[in-house]
Amino acid sequence: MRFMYQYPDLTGLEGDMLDSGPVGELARVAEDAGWDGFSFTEHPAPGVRWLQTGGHQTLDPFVALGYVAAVTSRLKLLTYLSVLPYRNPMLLAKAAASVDILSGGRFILGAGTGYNKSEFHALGVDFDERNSLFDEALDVLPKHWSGEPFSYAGQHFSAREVIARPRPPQQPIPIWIGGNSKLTRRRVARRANGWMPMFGPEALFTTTRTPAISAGDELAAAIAQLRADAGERGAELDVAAAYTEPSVHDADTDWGKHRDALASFAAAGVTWVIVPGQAGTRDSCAAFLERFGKEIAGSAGSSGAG
Amino acid sequence: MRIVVQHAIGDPAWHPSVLAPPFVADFARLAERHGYAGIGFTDHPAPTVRWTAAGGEGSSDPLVSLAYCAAVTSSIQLMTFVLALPYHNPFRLAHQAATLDALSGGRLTLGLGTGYLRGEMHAMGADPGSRLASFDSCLETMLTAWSSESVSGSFAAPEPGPFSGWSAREVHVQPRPVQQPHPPLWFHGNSAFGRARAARHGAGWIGVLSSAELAATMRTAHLPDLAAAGVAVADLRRRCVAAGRDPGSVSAGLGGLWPMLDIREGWDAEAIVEAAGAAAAIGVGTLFTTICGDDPSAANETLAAFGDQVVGPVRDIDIDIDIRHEEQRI
Repeated sequence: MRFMYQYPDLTGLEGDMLDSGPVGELARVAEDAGWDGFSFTEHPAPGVRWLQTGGHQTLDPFVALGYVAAVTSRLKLLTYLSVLPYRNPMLLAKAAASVDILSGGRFILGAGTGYNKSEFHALGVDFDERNSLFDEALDVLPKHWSGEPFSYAGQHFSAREVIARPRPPQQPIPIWIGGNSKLTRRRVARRANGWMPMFGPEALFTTTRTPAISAGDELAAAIAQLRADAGERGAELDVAAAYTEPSVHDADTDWGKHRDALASFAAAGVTWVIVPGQAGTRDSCAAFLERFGKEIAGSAGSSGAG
Repeated sequence: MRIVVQHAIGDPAWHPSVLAPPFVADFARLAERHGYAGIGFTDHPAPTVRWTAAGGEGSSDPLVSLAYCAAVTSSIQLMTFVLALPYHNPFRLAHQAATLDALSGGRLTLGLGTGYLRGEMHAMGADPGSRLASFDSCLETMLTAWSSESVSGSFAAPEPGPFSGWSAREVHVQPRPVQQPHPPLWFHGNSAFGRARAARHGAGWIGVLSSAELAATMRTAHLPDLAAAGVAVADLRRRCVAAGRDPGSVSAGLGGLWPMLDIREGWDAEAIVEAAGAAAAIGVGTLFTTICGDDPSAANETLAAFGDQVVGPVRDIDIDIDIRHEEQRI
């Protein structure tokens, strides 16, 4: 298994996203400590009410990953996740291609359909059309990335004889799709490179409008089914799951407990673990990155957990 | 006199290696070391085949690319040169600009334009007929977003479709830009539209000297020479005064004063320094240059040599911003 650090989100209206420390510095600490990836989430237009009731602030993930690309050489760079219907697919494709080019082919597009209605309105997108917009984006992205001339006539979106160059080094850029619905899993099996299942407290599933999955046997069965559905591609699919146990951030945490939990992820077929950062200070975040690196991500023992 | 360089990917004959990571980092550091005031990237997410074949610029996402440059430099200004505002949603763009301003320690300058490529606008879901209205609406929404705790508002595109309008209640745009209340805005375009916005909201205006043909392609007024640019700058100053702003607080920038630089072709440094002096005399304080991108080492050598021969020597030229003086001369 490989390990991805999610730069901490900031819940609520107060404070500043960068309070948790300079992005470039933490990315370098993560790379040196043996982590394998760095990620940012996306909320370009959060409403005040949503922020007051548990929503979180973000940095623009493409801009932030462009920055991280310059100061790292090995880390994979993930949007965790980018809401595909939020952007015109051309704009999305260009931003993704630029991160991929500037990172020498280290970008992964983590994608979701979205759930925040007011944010959809602010971005000028019909919430009820989010699934067909998502599918149209999946159609357009590889065409844009190919660097070849193309036209596209979709239900929501069309282009005549356009060409986007330079092309990104990864052909195509890997797409990981987040969410638990049958539709999501069908999409992954047919046309994506990875699945990002969600599990956690019940409230998470209400807010994010996705069916619940528990971390144990249910996850293992879902992953096995997904690989079977994907046929020949099944074995190559990545499965990236978030490890949200809060005690992992404690300085005196019981690492044995976390190793056991992560071993069960590995046994279920998870290939990447995403660890959401805990908002804090530069020192607290850097210290966590180093501790986790020493105990799990960068240690020889990590292969034992995967 | 300040010189801003557009990254070498802007050369229509660009080679992919000029956007490879080590080169972009070297280019940005080199520009900083040789005294360039800023580095710029343009915005072409979906250019048409026809325009590209006819010599359109190469491009990468400007905000992503500037973020990359921010991480490897410490003082050079990072400039979108320019963003086509009708391609963007105001909340996201305000958020992206704030992200970049925060990551770069307050070095972002937003160059803004209306866009002119019909085929690209179509692919972006933007209506060419309402590009000016959408520009203004986007601009006003961003200004409110940066200066207030929250912003509400809507824009109905004449041809409704995804990504072309918006309707928002109390959106909170964050992070707070380092530059308060927002990164400096420079308005691009030879016609009065850009100067009117620059006089009201801008830190600068950007004109481009060009052939009549290029001006027609870019759907803007034709500025054939410095005399014409002088008239435009005087118009900018008058508009600043009318808007109740100190005319000296809005810079005038000019591109196209000399052709794309290429060390293999050489240039007449003396004539360029002289032209920069003439531009300063009409009140232009920033000059934009393009640079060859077909070969990374040629691009780097060009950047360094032009820096030593021109960027350094013109730095101390004083800019004449006396309005009366300009009006008499013109």
